[in-house]
Amino acid sequence: MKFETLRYGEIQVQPEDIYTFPEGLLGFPNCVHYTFVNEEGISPFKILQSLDSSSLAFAVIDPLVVKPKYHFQLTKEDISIIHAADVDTISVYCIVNLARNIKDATINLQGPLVINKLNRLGHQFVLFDDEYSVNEKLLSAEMLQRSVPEILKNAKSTAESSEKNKVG
Amino acid sequence: MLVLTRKLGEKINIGDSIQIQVIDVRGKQVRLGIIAPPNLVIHRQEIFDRIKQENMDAAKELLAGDIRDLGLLINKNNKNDEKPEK
Repeated sequence: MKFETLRYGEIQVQPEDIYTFPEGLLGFPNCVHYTFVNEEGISPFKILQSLDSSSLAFAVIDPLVVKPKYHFQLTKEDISIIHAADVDTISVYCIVNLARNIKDATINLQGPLVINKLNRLGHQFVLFDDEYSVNEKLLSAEMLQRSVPEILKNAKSTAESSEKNKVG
Repeated sequence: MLVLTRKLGEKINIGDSIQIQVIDVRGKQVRLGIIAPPNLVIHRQEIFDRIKQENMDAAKELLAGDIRDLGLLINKNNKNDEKPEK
């Protein structure tokens, strides 16, 4: 099937690559169909592209890549929303807010996307307690200390990278 | 909206399966106990709203932010972690 997207132009998506979030994502109740795009050069991110709205797309990531201790509980009733019987068949993604400056990028750990790999049904859960927030810093202080000066050296942005002197 | 007054410890029933009890009142804070069927999702409104707003912001920022540099940085960092430092 063909879909029009802002980010990639027209894309061809196989039915087995279409994911359905019956209730949409929060704020986008009418956007229920998505596909994952493994855009070149953006690993470990993927793009969750809406198939209902050409301009709607999210950067998502397996949260354990950046937050190895991230965890939350799902009850049997919770996973029955996506018709899953077992947590072994689900995968979890979190939405990333890139921000203007990569140092300010955040990850939404309080509203994880949970997907049943068997039927490609998804749901955005809302974690009840405040252990995690909707905008945790994506990069830890140590990561910033270690890697940012080098990356910023290569980045073309000028005004925003002026802080590299401070870090180095 | 139905508005009721309840005293400490008093309960409200909604239908047969939902019960809400006033557990504690301290100044402007009210602690509520809720008994409801497990398939009913209970949210705190402000978290719900925050996630909604965050989703909208994240979708907007994807168009402006530099995802490649960020990805590079994370990959590089995770690789460093695999190598034990001497």
